[in-house]
Amino acid sequence: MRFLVILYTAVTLSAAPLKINIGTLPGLQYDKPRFEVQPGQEVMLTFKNADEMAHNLAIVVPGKRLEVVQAALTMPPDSNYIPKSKSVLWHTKVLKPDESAELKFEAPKEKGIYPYVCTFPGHGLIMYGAMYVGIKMPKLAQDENVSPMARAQSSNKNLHAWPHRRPLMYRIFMPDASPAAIAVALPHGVSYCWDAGTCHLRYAWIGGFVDPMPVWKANGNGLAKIIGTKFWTGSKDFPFHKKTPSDFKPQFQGYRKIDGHPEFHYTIGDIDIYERSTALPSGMGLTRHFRIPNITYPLHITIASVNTKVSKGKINQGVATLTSEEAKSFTITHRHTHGK
Amino acid sequence: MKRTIFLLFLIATLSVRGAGINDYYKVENIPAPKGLDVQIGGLTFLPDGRLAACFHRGEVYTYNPKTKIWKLFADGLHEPLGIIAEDNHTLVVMQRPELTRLRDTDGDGEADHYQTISDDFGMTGNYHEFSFGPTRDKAGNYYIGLNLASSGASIRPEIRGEFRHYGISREQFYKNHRSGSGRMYSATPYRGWIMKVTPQHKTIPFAPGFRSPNGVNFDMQGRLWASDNQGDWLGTSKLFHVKEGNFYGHPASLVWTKEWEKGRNPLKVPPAEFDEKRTRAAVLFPQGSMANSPTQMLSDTTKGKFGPFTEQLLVGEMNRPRIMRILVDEVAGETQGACLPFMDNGGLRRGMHRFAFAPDGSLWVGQTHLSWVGANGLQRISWTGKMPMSVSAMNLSDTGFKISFTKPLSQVADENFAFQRYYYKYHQGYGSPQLGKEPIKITALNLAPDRKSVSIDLEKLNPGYVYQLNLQNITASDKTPALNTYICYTLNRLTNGDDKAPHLTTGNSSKSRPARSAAKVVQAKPTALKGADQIFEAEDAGRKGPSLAKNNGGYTGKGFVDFQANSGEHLNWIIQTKSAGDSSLSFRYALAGGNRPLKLKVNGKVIAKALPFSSTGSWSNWKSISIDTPLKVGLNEIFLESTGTSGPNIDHLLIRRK
Repeated sequence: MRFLVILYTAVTLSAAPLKINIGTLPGLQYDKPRFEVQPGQEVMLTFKNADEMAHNLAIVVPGKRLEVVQAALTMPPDSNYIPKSKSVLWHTKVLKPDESAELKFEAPKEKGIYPYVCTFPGHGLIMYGAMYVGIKMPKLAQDENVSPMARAQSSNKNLHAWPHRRPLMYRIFMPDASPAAIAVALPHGVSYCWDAGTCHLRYAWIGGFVDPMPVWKANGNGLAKIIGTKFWTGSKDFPFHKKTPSDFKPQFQGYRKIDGHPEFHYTIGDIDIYERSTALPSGMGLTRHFRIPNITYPLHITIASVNTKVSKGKINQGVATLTSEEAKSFTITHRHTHGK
Repeated sequence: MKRTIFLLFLIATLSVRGAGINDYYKVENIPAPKGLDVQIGGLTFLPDGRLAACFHRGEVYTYNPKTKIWKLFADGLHEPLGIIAEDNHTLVVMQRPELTRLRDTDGDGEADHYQTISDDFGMTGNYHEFSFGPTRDKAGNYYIGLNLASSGASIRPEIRGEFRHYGISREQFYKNHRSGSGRMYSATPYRGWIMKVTPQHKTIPFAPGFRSPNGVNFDMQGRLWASDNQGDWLGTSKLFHVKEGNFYGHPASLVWTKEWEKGRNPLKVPPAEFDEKRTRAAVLFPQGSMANSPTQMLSDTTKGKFGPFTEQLLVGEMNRPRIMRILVDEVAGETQGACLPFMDNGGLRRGMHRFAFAPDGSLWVGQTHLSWVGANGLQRISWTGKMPMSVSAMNLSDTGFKISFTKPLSQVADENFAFQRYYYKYHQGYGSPQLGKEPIKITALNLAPDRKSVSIDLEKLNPGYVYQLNLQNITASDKTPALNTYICYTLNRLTNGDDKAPHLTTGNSSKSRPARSAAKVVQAKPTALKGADQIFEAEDAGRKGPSLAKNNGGYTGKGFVDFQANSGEHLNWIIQTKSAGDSSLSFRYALAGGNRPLKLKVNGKVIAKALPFSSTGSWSNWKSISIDTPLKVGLNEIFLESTGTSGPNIDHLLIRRK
């Protein structure tokens, strides 16, 4: 009896194309990290973009994901970010939020692990999956062909008594920061490390958040692990000054939560600085919103990197200078520039 | 089936004797939200009767005992280990990096303002730098306890606060923290101190000399107490009555006092110098029998709702399902006293970490483990109303002790009271054996007219000893047997004020010989290697020092061995082979944190000076470390030796012929 059922299923499979549905998750992820097909099998793949930003899906030749992603970085928006290359086998156009597209194809005859990837600039470093053709899939937690987030999530039991959510913050031991670090997950897959020991932003990344288990599993003798790709790293030193660099000794005062986003408060002498970061809707960076209501002197800000924009003031030799009036409210934006 | 029979038997035994703890106290498990890691760092009751609890992964929840509803109040905190309520909307939490006020300003039941009250102390990032407290005095000052760092790990590349360590630079120390750090170290201010934080958020160093002050709390008389854990400089675990400016015995923290000469290394100072300065603990908890890791202490504020021990201190213990009672005695102007088990088992879990009394007089207890011995969960203990027969007070007299009971005694005689005494050495080493141990004779015994106390004169009464009393066949006049019969009184000072105890540092008590402290030696027996792969259990090996244990799961065979001292202990196998050849030796072990290298010798030749046993993450996570070595025909001795950093728990040796 059982034999008959299996036989029947097999017959059905060979008759109709294999349907694969792929959607998206927040934080630059496909909702299906991988799937399996037989060589030469008819496939009907439907890609639905449920995210708040634009994505495409390209199936590429084994081992060629990064090459295609690199080639797409510098392409104009009307290109759908698909390079003219033999490495790209099938692809959708760039889909806006809530659009969907279908790809109907016959799976390669040659067995292999064929990546599928979003070639929208910057996304492809972490937004990808694997089509297994005639090869058995390993355990997801050990699969090097899927994105690190998918791999981490597969072994990730829910860490709290509430569902996964963003924004989310942990005070936890972090790499490349003082022991009083704070990790914050923003919407759109953006995360950052703010250091309550030094009172400034240390770095930011896109992708997943952190794996806190190296710290939580025991007595704290570990560091949280960043899941994703760093796109901005600040200096070790506090970046604001009055007369000469490092003349400020900031003192942490805590934070308020505004729509779940922490607004950090620290003082330098008599002045109060408030700093809150939000993700760019594209997921490709973050904006730091500063308020210094009681500042009475011009503020100098050392700009650590090219992918940084200060909303006010004049820039001279990597130092932005804001008048006391400008310094009362301004923003600093750090963008993912795809390694340019 | 076997288990059922055993349980039935146990229940039958208890009911026949009629003196089980559950006759007097009921223990109830409180379910927690699903998905929560219920390792409890702090418990307190809000004025409106809700419980507030903080947890290992940084959450703070409130729980309404009437509706049984849990509600998330705050999250994202870094290892919070204490909580106190200022009002129904404001909680103060001690987390690793700071003392924080959590305020719900919009009344939605969730904190929106996390205000830093004090982060004015250093952190090296070493895992052992736990932050304990807070407790609050009548003037509104908060008190917090800062754990020392452990040589089980180094500092982090970046630290918060000043680094100072006897002339070693931070970079040097980061690379090799074992170079003279001592077992527990204070490389940044004010590790090893109790700190006071004023209502104006000013942080003031209050008292140095602590190692791991997990419990910091005031009692009803306004005395500040701190518990501390057996280890280096602590012969056994302790309870201190803390006063401003006093030094409590662990010298690592002294480097942050104004008087300390810069660059002077406390490890090079004779212990007698510190002994002069230190304030001894009011109560010692004998290691192994009373407590291994005491936790929070809490006054019974229930005015009788929780039983007959009103105003006494309760103290938790991590390693066994136990809560202790403290019988405080004021002698010649100083505080000392006795400890005894209050509750054992009866449904309690291990890891008895945090306590709070509910308005109804029930005691709520939260467990934790942090990968050490313990458990997790929340329990509620309530008194049944039945009066237990137990010791209610123990007071020093000029000639002995007066011991009071909750109920009138039936007949008593000398043989109902077995006294002995011993002391713990004050030294840099880890822990101390019980020294000078001897039985103490009773010279007179008088029952009070109300039969509720007995005065006992002892043959010897000297400061600097634990006087241990075991009650034997004590019953109340109504035939109730005594519930807890093991009591340890810490005699620091006689009624005439004499507190001289030079034997504490020299290790020589006046007359008695030191107790046997030699490590247990088991000779290795030759075992034949038969196959290509063969396991040789550590518990069957020869050993000097390491003890057999089975308290962490996942081992093979009957258990594993646990190194005790830092150095000079060993484990050895004698393996008989029929042929010579290269073999792989694979040691299966567990180590919760840090590195504990062992020296490996094969046939007397050093194969590895420091075979790197590194952390496996927890005591129940077993890993193997392998090394290749030739074995000869006949008998081969494989010898693992500790050389200063103790050793991991070793499960077995696997030999694989190449």
